[in-house]
Amino acid sequence: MVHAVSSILTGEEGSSIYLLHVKYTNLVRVNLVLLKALLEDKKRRGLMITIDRPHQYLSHLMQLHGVDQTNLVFVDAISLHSADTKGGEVAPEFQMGPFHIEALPDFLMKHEDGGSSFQIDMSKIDFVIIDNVSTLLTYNSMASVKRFFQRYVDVLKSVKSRGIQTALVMDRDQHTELYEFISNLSRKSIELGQDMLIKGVRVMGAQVPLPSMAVPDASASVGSGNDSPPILERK
Amino acid sequence: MANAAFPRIESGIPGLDEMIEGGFPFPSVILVAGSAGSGKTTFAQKFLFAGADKGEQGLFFSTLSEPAQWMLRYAAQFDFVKPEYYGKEVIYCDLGNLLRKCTSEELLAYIDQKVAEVMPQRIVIDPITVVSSMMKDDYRVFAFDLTTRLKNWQATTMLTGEVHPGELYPAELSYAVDGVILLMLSDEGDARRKYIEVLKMRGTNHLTGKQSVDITRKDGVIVLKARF
Repeated sequence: MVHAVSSILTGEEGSSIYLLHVKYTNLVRVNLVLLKALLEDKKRRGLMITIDRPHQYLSHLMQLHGVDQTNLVFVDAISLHSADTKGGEVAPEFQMGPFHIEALPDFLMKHEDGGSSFQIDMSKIDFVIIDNVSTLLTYNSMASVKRFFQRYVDVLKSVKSRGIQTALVMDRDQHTELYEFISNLSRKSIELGQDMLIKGVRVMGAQVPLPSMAVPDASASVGSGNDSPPILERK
Repeated sequence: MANAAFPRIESGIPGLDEMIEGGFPFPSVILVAGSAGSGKTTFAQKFLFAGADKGEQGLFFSTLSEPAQWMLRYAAQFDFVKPEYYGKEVIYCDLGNLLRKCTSEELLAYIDQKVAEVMPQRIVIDPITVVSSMMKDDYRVFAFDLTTRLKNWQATTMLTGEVHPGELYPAELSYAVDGVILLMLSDEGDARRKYIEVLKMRGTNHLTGKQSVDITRKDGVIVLKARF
């Protein structure tokens, strides 16, 4: 599945959103597969926005399953509200609240923090993953979440130097309205079955059935990081 | 629309899901409390095997009540227990030796590590109450940290709790968990009947009051609503 997913996500030029439908009980597993595919299989550099749980859980999972985190920046949008004592070896670059999510795209482009100023150099980002989209609706209205995605697409268009692939995993059956909305903004909608096999890929409204592909162990080692320049720059 | 934001997983207990709007919230931590013989471990086993039937990964932590070796021998009597799931869809992990010597932080770290390794959608800790008597640290803080972490691992966890005669549920845990289910034995004339009651289920408009239950070889614990 790592190779199958990475080939589907990275075979295009320009910025795109890829929407993956998966049952909600498999969201974490699919996010881990995505990170392994993009960070290791494709040697990409990415931004992970955590909303559903503090970033250290995903970081711990990646560490245990041998996924290199060197080229991943965490933006943690829930730790400040989680009262969680779990430690982690990788610190998030940004911490923020999960509310008013429509401001996030501009926040990512330029963030002022007291006397310090941070800016994520989006031209060095290859992919963005949000863990997870459905949870946005816990803290924001549907209208606000839709505005977030519209603004996010504008931000993607403004980054002309290279394409940014955004992978969004959600359960279509839980949030049909939001799924359809994002689907219209997406290059591909990918459906994963309960057995974690790819059931189909919809490209610009066209249904492209795929033969089922077996899921390899997500912990299987693929490779490690590279010597790419840092994503985050301190001004 | 509000319910759409609240995913649930089926409990695997026939008749229970109808009492709790379709299943346990996912993720959540549910306490199943009862005295000896009330069916707690059977309830928890069925929860895991029902998940395994749906392709969901299960992880069973046993503490200091019944070693997995013996628990599995008795569990083998139930039709729903499928030995082919052992070590795959349903993984057993004995915390007994660790509990004899560890601190609460070490115990949390071990559970964290095992959960990250297995990535279960369903977890059982059976029984959790024995931990309170072994913890030198603040048990309430431990219970808070444990339940917070278990939910952040994106699983629904069932904690079983032993109660003493005259006690309904372990009070310290009841505040930290999202749901409390009581399994009760009641003397009624010459018979000792079994009941279930959903005392608490966050985010759920659950049925209140005691419902009669039975334990069968085929299904384990079942709620006998039809008799009311």
